[in-house]
Amino acid sequence: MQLRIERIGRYRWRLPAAGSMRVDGLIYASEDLAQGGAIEEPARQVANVASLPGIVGHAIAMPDIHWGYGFPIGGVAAFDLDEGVVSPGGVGYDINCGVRMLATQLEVDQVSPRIQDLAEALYRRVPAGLGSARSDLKLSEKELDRVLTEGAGWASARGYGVGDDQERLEEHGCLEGAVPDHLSPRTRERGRGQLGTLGSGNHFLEVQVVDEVFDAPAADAMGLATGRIVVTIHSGSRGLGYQVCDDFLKVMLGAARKYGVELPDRQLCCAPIGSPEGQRYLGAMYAAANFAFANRQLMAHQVRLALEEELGWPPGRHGLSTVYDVCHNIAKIERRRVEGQERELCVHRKGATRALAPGDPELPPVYRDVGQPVLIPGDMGRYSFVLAGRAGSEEAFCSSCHGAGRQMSRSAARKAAGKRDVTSELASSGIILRATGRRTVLEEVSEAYKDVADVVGAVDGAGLAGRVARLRPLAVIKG
Amino acid sequence: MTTTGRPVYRQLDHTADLGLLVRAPSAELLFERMAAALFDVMLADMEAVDSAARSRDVVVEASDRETLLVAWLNELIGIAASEELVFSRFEVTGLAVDRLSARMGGEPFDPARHRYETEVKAATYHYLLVSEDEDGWSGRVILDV
Repeated sequence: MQLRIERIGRYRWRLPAAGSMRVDGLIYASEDLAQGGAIEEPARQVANVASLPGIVGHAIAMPDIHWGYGFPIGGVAAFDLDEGVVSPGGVGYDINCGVRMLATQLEVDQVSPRIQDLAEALYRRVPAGLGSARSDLKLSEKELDRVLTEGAGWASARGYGVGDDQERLEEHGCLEGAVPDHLSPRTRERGRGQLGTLGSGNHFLEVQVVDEVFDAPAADAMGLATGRIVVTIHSGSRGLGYQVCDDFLKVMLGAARKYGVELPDRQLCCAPIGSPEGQRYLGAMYAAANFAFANRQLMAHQVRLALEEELGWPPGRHGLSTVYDVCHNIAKIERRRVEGQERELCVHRKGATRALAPGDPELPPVYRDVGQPVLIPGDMGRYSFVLAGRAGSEEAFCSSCHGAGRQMSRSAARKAAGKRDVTSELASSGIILRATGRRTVLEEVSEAYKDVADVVGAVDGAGLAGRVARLRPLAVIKG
Repeated sequence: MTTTGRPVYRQLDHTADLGLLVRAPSAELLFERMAAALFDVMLADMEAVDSAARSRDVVVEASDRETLLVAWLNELIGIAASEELVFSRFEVTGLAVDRLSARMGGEPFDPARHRYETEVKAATYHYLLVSEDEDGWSGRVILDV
């Protein structure tokens, strides 16, 4: 099927429904991001998603779209609860991979002289790398069940965390309806020792400085100001999430056949939301999502301890607070407006972030006027952004992009990086890198990623979310 | 049939992930070589794994040969991740369109001698291929890394 891609606005491209597509595709991208046919392969995936039963509105792709499988990475798709399906491929293997951002009252001049100490302390406190595990936090079956049902709340009830209310976390750091029983014993085994660990690949823990503010009232509400230090954690549900995804892809392959769903791509396998298979997946996926919320909470706690113990700065001095915590691989039931009507939908975001507009009742009071913080990590050598949700995101089921998006395969990146000493290069730009593996570092060089400023520019231009602040890395911990 | 140590295979370049391409004269060897390629990707030096230390048997089922390949690789990833065992020897003892039995040889992961190089989250169903032609068997699978 030859795909027609029509430009309908400065940052909008439409795929008119054709063939088996039930709705149009809608791709947000700038001219630059769409050039050289970069948009065509992901567009094909958008078209495939558009053919799934019960899909509502548009099959959506964000400017950081890149080739994934089944659903593209950087995709949003919402389904009617009665007619529609839920699909593990629309969430991804790393369930609730997401970002937690902590603001401080520390200034860069106070922290820079001690950045090596801080990087060292964080590197020691937060296990990172392939197969990273914590031996000090081996959970019993019962305790693991609590993590899986309570999420971030489990951690904060035990005194782990930064001391904020859960209201500054998406879904308050816990998805109701998690069913730990739906997890296989192997899933539990994989997760048990990994709570509180960073993982590897594109996961990171970064100490950053706010180097530009674009929206002063929003930055103020979020505790961000030029020169202030911020710490950002990017991680997910570790091996527990991967196992849930794989287990349920198997289930859904059978379910798609059973319910007569035609699959242009096996990785789009799915089941009706209300079916036993659909409900089992949701229960398991929510449990994995809660594991990830607890995971980020535990790592945030380690950040606090590093500041207080190794650096000797008491709470009154560091003033650590949670800016927000966002999911970018998730599916959940949300109430969204479609063609003027409010509907409950199963919204899938794979490599996309919720972006609630100002006034949304789900926002905590502190953000009611400015919109939901949208945390957008860039690559380790450049910058990251904080945005705030805008009214225009309604068209995209209140969603925005999630990051820079890769533009080079891992092996191409390693080749391009060659024998370069990436650690020294970053050091000469004032960035301390502490990484457990050299190979991952090569795969994560800046050139492997799109420029997140372009992605954010397109999102801002399209009215989905507005830029609030830009952050520059000072120290990067990678696995 | 048994496959021990690094097999011959090609890696496919994909933006976010890694593809494995393998050829073999038989379906059994194809499945063995895919497993060996998986561990070659996962470990910095899979030949440092003592294949005689531990033996493990598995049975895997799926609805067709292609999804069987994914199930096989994910079973290996699951065992490695949950039991901390790594393998360098693979013997397919039975292979039907929808069922595979195999024996693996390896040992517990030892950080002093073994090093993980790539975290493989799972084998995916994307661009999946297991097919026979007049020259033998071809397999293609994309790993989420």
